[in-house]
Amino acid sequence: MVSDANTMLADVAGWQRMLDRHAELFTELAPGARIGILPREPTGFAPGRQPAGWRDARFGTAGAPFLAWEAAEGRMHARCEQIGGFGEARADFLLLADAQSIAEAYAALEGDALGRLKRRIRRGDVMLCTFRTRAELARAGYEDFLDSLGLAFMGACR
Amino acid sequence: MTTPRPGELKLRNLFQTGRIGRFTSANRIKYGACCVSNYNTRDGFITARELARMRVIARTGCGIITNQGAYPDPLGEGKAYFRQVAIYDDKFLPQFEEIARDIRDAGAIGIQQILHAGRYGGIDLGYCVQPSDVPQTLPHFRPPRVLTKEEIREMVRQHADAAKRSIKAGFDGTEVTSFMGYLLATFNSKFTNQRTDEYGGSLENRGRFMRELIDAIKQATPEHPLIVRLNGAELMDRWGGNTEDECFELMQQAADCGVDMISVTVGWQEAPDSSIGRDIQPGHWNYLAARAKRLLPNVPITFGVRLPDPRMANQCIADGEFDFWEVCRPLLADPELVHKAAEDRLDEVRRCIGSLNCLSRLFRDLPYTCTMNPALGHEVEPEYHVTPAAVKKRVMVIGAGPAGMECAITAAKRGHQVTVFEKSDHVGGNLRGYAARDLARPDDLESIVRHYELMARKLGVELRLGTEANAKLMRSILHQYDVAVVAVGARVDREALRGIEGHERILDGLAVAQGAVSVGSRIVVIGGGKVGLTLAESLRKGGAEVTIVEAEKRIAGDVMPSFKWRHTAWVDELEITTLTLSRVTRVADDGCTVVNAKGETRLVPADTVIATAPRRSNQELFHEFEWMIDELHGCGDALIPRGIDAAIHEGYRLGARI
Ligand SMILES: Cc1cc2nc3c(=O)[nH]c(=O)nc-3n(C[C@H](O)[C@H](O)[C@H](O)COP(=O)(O)O)c2cc1C
Ligand code: SF4
Repeated sequence: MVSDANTMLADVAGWQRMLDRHAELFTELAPGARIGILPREPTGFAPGRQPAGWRDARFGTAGAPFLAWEAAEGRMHARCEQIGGFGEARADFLLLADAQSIAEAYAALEGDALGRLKRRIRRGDVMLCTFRTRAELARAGYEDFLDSLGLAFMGACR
Repeated sequence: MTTPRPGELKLRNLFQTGRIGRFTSANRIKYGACCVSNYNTRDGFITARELARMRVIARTGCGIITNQGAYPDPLGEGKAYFRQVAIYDDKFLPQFEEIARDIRDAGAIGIQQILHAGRYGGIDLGYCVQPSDVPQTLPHFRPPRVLTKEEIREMVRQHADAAKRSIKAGFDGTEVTSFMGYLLATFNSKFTNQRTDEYGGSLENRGRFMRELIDAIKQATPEHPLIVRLNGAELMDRWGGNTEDECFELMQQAADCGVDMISVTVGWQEAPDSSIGRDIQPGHWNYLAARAKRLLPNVPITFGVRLPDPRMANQCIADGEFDFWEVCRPLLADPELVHKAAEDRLDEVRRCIGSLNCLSRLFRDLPYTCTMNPALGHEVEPEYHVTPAAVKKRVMVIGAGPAGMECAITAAKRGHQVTVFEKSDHVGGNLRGYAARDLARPDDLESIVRHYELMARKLGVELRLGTEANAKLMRSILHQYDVAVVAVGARVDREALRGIEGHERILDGLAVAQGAVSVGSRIVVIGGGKVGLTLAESLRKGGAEVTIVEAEKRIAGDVMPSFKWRHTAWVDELEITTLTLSRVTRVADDGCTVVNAKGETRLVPADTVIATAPRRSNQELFHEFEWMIDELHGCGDALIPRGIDAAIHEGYRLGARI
């Protein structure tokens, strides 16, 4: 499964096309704003469970494929890296996706990939992990994007 | 012994006395802590605004009144809201004393809630404290820091101190809340508690913090009742949260520790589903209270989540489902609710419509206000009081939508003689058509219209339906009125649609909403704001294929923050196509041509195209009536198209001022 996720996340050109199609969601983002997608399996995260000391933990010898979306020059850029632990992600927040969610979003790269991610987030298959405060995220211009993922950003208690 | 009022005889179970600890309450109604208001100072002191608000609450007629959740720690790790009150030091006491006195003077039992927000706290700190390092699933909360055992012990002590201080202030008892995932909930839940020491792991261990808390508070305030708010359902199953069975085992633990009352709540802020929104039917969660009562027949159970109707509450108490009705937002919407129930005037109640304006504002760090109660939060300001008018005037209100009707009934309460002129044959304006199409709960929105019809009748407001107010009519009634209020709402701006080839084929959203025109089976809706969404969702539900074309980059731009996710989820579930940053350029037999911001064109097959945007205020009468009347005012969408909150609030403010 990991190797599948590896291949899918490594298709940077495919993800880039998807990001470009949704460019309007990222126009407010400050340069350097960075979102990451990580396959859940190598991280040890599962619904209701995460490894003790996960922030500093290593993912094992192989590391994990990591798809970063990074804002620069008014555009979101996709790049794929291999990281050995959360510390190396340097992301504002991470989407920790199970293998099916990655496969589903990937299969819809030319279509509704973000919609698929949104549905999977709602079902708990994609977990969110934030490293910034609310004010920092708002200042970095994330509101449009977070709203489009169906997250109750600044409007919980429903 | 006073003679019971007629409604008290009808709702005998609700208006019977109740017991909590050594206290007897006048009735079975508890004002729930619906009161993190953001009216206070940034460093936790209660303000005059809050005191005035609580004076109104003290007089609501509830047997038990809960004062808003105060954070108990000096660092503010427990602080969840921008202007939440603090209770970690005696310096805060004078204002708490005033509130406790007001509650006691009103004959109610006063309870002070202690709210340590845990996972949702640390608003000024950049981190929150939790039993374990469980990442936030909603990005607006702060990253977690794990509590040491030493810190846990300190927290228990802080809660006990806060309880002691509450009693010193004059409250009769205290309450600890775990509503929506606050600190206590994070220890109880296996979602957030993954500790391996004696505070984590088994249910017994996870409940240890709660048991220590209860013990410490009971020891600190042995003569005074302690209430604990505990979830009957977390709605966090998909994230590994507690099952309902586990929630009830925790309630059993609380009861075994000698807690004096359990308040059953539902949900977490992060839960993917609603617990208190308009999409939840009243009574939906009652089964949780009933289960708690069956499990703990000797512990008073209080409950009220999404249970806005006193008649239903009365029946639940009769059926033994719970002991006290814990009412919260319905009393924000109408602080007279209990008195109206007691006087058998329930038809006059302004219903909470579940709009979530109150909570949406809290999450934007704003003081809360209520869609239905424009005076909420302004009790301290005389300008918001409805007082007899110094000069009684003859007022004509043009337009019987929410803005006009609110203005009319407020002005009538002040002694003005009011006539409402309405072109159509009904009260309610545009709201009427759209309310019926609401996917969540049409009856809530329709109740607004019914309320206005009834109050107009009771207050002697003359309704001239089917009468269009224009310059000709005005000339015929010259000098009969002192004031004209233009409240004729907004319309779809057809001028702005003229650039679309075939624009004359485009139907008006309102006409469709009212059922005045029929539609086909492949529909394009122009505008993805709340009006367009409501229409699109109902048409889709009716079986049509629907595409929304929205000029902005997102749909639901004008929807309440706490309800936005609901519309976007419906759009998803119903498979409505949305084309954002797009506009329609041509409408023809085969459908319509849509162009996006990049200039890409596509043909959307459609047999019906409906416009709900852009909207434009109906302002023509302002010019026509100038020089014809002494005072000319406007309110609601006739000034700027917005929606029901602005309409009601402006109508009220104008009515209170004329
Ligand atoms: C504006 C607002 C503020 C609230 N503040 C608190 C609070 O301070 N402590 C608490 O335990 N619950 C709080 N709640 C939750 C309510 O007490 C109540 O459980 C919930 O609103 C459901 O009841 P209802 O349907 O009668 O509103 C608040 C709710 C609202 C709408
Ligand atoms: S703002 Fe809406 S949800 Fe809140 S109390 Fe008022 S009507 Fe109810």
